[in-house]
Amino acid sequence: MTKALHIMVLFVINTGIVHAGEWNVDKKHPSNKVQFISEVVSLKFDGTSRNIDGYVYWEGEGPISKGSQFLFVVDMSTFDTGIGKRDHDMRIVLNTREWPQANFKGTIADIMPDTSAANTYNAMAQGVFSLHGIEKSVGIPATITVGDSTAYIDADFTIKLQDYKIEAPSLAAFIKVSQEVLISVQVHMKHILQEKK
Amino acid sequence: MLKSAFLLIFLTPLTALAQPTWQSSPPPAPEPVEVFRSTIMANLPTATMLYKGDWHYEISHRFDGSLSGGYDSLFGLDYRANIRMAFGYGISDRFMITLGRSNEMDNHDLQIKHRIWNASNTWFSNALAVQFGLAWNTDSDIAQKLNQVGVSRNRMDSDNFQYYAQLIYNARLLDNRLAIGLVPSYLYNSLIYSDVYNVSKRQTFTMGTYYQLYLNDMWGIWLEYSPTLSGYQGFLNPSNLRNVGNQRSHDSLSSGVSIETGGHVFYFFATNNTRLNSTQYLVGSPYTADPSNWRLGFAITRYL
Repeated sequence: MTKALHIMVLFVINTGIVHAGEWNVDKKHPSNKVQFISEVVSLKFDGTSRNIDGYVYWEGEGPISKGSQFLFVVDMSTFDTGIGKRDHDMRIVLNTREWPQANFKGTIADIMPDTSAANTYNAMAQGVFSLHGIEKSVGIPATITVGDSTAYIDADFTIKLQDYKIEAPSLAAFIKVSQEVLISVQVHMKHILQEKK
Repeated sequence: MLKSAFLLIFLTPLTALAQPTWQSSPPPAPEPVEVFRSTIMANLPTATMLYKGDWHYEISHRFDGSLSGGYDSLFGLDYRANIRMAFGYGISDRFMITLGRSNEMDNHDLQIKHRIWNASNTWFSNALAVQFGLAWNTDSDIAQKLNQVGVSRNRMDSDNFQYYAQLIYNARLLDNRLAIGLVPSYLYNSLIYSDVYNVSKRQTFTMGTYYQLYLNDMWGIWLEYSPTLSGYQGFLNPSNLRNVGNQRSHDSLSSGVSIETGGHVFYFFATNNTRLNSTQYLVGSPYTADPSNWRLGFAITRYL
């Protein structure tokens, strides 16, 4: 009986020792944006989606630390290039029926305060980027600005269509879209209380 | 026993509670597959729509010289051509309007198309749409011909207007490689000269049909056949209204290739029908489908 009482006391004490923090994408924030910029000869076109979701999660006091886990998900059928037909064609090229989402899942491999700006960190996000059913290990540099209960993440990176087995669409019969596509992500996060008590 | 309990207690919060609370939401439902890649075939409408806010341009030619003329007439390309130009606009993903003009009788037409439904699965896609159209024949030549037979008419006269309705059913089958279309069509005031002959307004029922085999993402081969089932299939615009002889129209047949690339769809084909706008095409072809009557034509559509 006494042993059981000790176990119960330890259990109650123990549940209070894990500290964790979490940011979730503020899906209602009007400035969330995932944009791709593509080139065809001298012509540039871009597409934008505001349909990004995900989290950054860490254990410890935070606000964020090396080893923090993250996952970001973008609905590929929501990209808007300004021409509905082009959006439709893009959905076919990306086969969004079979692979509706792209995601990036991994950990913060490195994070350093930015000496030129307050509450700002330069981070390296290392993980697996999944697009068009193909997964690749990538490292993406990002800038993270932390507020009271919010955070803002800004990242730019380039992908090659062939790496993800995406056939470059044609403008005319023989003019192909460039293999390299610039991706720009701006996402606002809100702090989720992780009260583990 | 006690040792195991201690371990269990200490590990529990690190395993069970070390989880983000975030939960994924399901992706948007996929849109149905479009049966055809353009809003039109060479002559008939498809159930494919413009997306909201999209602009669309169409230009079509039907050359007057027959292919049988050979190289001497560059297979008919040396001759004049009937030309149609049209602009379309997507009011919503399910409504679009098109304003077009043909140099044949200076026929202007306004079309409104509505997709009623579309659905698809891995082996079969289909769609149903309806199109209503109004055409206005404004060529000054019409008034001159009428004057010669003692009939006076201004451009806004109701006899210069024609109306039509088309039900459009499209389906894709055979692993999505074969697309077919059925377009039962009704045309009112098929003969704009009914007042000259003191007859009631003529009507025409035509069954538009088309079949397209997609060879790959870019190339396709297709055939359109539009027999007139009942109603008026007579002459359209004779040079002399008092001497029309036995002029009549014939069922339309067209066949060729399609090329889709970068927002364009090109149709290159041979046809017996040189009439372009719907109120003219639906009456039929001025020529029979005999091979000696086949002419070259093309249609190019482009998203703007």
